[in-house]
Amino acid sequence: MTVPGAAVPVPASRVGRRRVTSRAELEHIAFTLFDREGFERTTIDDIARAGGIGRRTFFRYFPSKNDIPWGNFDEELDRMRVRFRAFPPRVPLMDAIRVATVDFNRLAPEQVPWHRRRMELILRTPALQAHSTLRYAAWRQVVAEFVGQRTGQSPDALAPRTIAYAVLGVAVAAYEQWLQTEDADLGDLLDTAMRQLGAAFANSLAPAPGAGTAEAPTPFSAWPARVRTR
Amino acid sequence: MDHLGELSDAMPELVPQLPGPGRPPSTTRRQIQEIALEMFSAQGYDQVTIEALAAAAGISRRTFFRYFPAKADTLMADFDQDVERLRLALRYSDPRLGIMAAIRRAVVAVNSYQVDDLAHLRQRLQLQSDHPALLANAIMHYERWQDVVAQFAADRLGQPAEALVPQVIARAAFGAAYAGFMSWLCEDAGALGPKLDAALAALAEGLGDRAGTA
Repeated sequence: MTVPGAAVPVPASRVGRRRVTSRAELEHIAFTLFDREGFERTTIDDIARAGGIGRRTFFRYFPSKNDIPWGNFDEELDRMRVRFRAFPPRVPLMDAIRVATVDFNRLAPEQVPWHRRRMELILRTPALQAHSTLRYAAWRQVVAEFVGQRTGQSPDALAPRTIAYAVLGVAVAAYEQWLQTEDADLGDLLDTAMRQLGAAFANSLAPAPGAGTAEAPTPFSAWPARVRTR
Repeated sequence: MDHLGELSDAMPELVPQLPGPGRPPSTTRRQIQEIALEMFSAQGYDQVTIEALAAAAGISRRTFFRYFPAKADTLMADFDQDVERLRLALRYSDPRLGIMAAIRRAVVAVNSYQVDDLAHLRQRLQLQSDHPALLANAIMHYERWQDVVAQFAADRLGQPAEALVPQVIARAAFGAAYAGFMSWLCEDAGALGPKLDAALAALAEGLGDRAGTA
């Protein structure tokens, strides 16, 4: 993945402060400030100052404060579109969506802690919700376009829209679980979440206690009843 | 089980209210919602104080807080009521139905929006898209809807509501219902119930070829 801004010429360093030279570095500095001061109270000036750069340089890395947690999302969406196009038609619709969603969230081990902070910000900062709504809509649009293509409908038709909304909901459920579970793997959680949705509709989830068939092994029984939380 | 008590919590305007000091007995959450919608749209959300809202509704500030915890919550009165009705519909749902079928039936049965409400709904959504604070508040109310569904799924599965599967079910159901709701809102015609039913059916169908292969 390219790091936008890496090639941007930066002004000569200020006295006594090492200036950041990459988007990722600036992101990490911002996350540290958000942790310490809170997202709303941290200003762009604070972040630029901590990074030893000017306000103008900040804007070469990020168009706004809200865009720091979301990163280069448009580029990610393009990658997801390409991924969808690469599926041969014989791959069932929901399989393709599941695999693409898991791929979309694949992380190198060193990115994991930063991605946790990113997702905590996105999911738990009320001030970010309005901005995030637009991002979620863009993500859903990519899914709806794919479903529309596969089913010969407009992406605005009910089924593509519904599946896109539902899949986003499932992804958020997996993210929430991931944030609550120290050593969970995000890809595994997303994969399980999407499969369990299918199982829920097929009525193949574990039956209610006392329903008389509790001994029948189900795919679901492999899942721990309570995911460890801290 | 205090069924009537629960019903009165869910549908305050259906049960007689005790007249309290300074509060006309007919004042309901719903009336305050309407007044708030009108005032926010006309004057701007930030300009309207709780005092002004309470005065327009003929209640005191203290009484206002008996109805709503905060100014932003006034717009969600109908929604909150649907959440309570959904909770009851799920609690008394046919135990022979599968989880998703029970949710689908309850969601369709509970929706109380009518075509007449369209103008109000559009106003509310417009206000929410103009004011991040209102949007963030609405999302909290949506979370409660999802909590109700997650709790139902959790009880059926004998798991905690925070576990992955109840959460997946709740968020997927909400997503589907919301898609149905938005599509109804765009069409300007027809009833909401069948739209919600169609959305949840579309989700089931989309998942159909994967059934049982988890």
